[in-house]
Amino acid sequence: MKRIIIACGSGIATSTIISSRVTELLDQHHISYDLIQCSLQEIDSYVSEADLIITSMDLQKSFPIPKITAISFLTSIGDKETEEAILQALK
Amino acid sequence: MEFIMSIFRAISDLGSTLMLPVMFTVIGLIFGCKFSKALKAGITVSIGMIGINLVMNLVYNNMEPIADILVSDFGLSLKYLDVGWAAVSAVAFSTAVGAFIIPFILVLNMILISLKATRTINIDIWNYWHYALTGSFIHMATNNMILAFLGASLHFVASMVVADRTAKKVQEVMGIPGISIPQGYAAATVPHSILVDKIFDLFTKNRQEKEANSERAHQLRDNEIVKTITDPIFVGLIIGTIIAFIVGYDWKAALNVGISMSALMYLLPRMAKVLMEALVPISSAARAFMTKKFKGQDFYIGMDSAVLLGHPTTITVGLVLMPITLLLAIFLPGNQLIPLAGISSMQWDVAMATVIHKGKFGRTLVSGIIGTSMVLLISSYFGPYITEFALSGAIAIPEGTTGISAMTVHLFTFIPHIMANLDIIGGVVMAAGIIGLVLWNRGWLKQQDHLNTTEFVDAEASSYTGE
Repeated sequence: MKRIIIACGSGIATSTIISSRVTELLDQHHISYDLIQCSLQEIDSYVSEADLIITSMDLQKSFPIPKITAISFLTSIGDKETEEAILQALK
Repeated sequence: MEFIMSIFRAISDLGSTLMLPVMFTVIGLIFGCKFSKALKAGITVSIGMIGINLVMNLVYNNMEPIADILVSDFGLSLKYLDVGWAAVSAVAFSTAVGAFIIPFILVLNMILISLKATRTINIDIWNYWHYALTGSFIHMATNNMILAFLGASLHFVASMVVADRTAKKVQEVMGIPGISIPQGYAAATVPHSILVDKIFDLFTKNRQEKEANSERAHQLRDNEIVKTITDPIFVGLIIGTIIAFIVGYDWKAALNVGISMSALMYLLPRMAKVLMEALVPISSAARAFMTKKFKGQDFYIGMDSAVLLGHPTTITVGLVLMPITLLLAIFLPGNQLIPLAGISSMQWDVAMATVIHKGKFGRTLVSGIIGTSMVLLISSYFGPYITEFALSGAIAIPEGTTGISAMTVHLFTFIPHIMANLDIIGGVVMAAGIIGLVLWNRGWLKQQDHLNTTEFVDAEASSYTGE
């Protein structure tokens, strides 16, 4: 079971779009997961229990767990690479 | 035309709880969603609205007597509570204008592209609510659907012009290739930011200006105290309790109000998320439709301003603006808004200012203060509308001297509204404004030799619309 934080400015809009893409991806690859959708401010409170952070913007900050910027899921440009990166990070 | 109007009337008469499922199911079907999925989306939109309604009632019951005392005993004109953009976005989608906004804007975007008046394809479907809000306010004031859609169009076209012209800077400052930001609120913060930039240029010719330091920005935000008092739950608790104390509640009653405000801050975004999730199949299908249509051509990808929020200057100025906004609310003449929900999301107000000022801290702060002052006054102006909106929509609020508003309306909503109040003349002016912007931007785009656009690739539509 992988715990993934998906965060955007409000935890409402872009993170919902990214969540639906991540759900699809992980279902396809039969990876079991638990998604935590939240706002940027809330990331820290979930980091200790999560395996990966996915955000809709470039966060210039380091975390103890890997982070991936998934703007490509919104633009559809380079989204295959992002999918690869997510799968790689969850291995 | 008469036929279209009668459809609008019939739909409006259903009331939003029934209108929303019907409308969104139809729109879902138009974009190729399966019937079951489209229907579920439609019903879920209504569920989101009902959720927002419940929370708003809770908040209103607590806040109304307090605002009454502020007005009558303290002589303060603070009579509208800021419930935040999340609630207003939902309300905007729940109106007759909102129901049609997605197909309307998509068609308008395609027309602009065929006229070579924009290079942006706005695939940020969710944020079409900004344009819907502008149209809905006009519909409320004038009861005229044509003026309403003219206003929404003006807001949209202005946002697209801003998006095109700021695209290079956005890409350069944020390091994201190929995008532009036509989000209706962020775009409205650009004109005054450009003006501030020009004025600063005059006075700071050779001076070194500070950029916010990334490490320091995160240190500031991660500071235990700052983190606690900027947490939406604590913002609600602190502001709610303090205001209740000021009007003379005892500590027990005051804390009760505080916790109710925490509930508002915590629950409203979650209710809005329900609505957002409902729109995912439709917005994804609409996005897929656009990417398919323009596949292989070069455009800017119109994005939500959320992608800008990671910049250290945005983070730092957003934090600094929190106390400043509270002070402005008290001392700014003409303000009638009690800032609450907007307080913990001030970074949205300077996301584009950071881009215009290339991360320079002082300039971004000045633009932020000017922008926030305008937003306070404009949201005061729209207070009666948002309150009545809430009354006629699913949200039931008893009528009174006080009400709700949200720090989510800017000049691009205000200007069309003022024009629409002039009726036919205003309509002509708005149409002229749209044509003017189209010609102006068309001419400008022609002169640009390198636009930094990107090739559109096809998104997998099937995965969105199927099961």
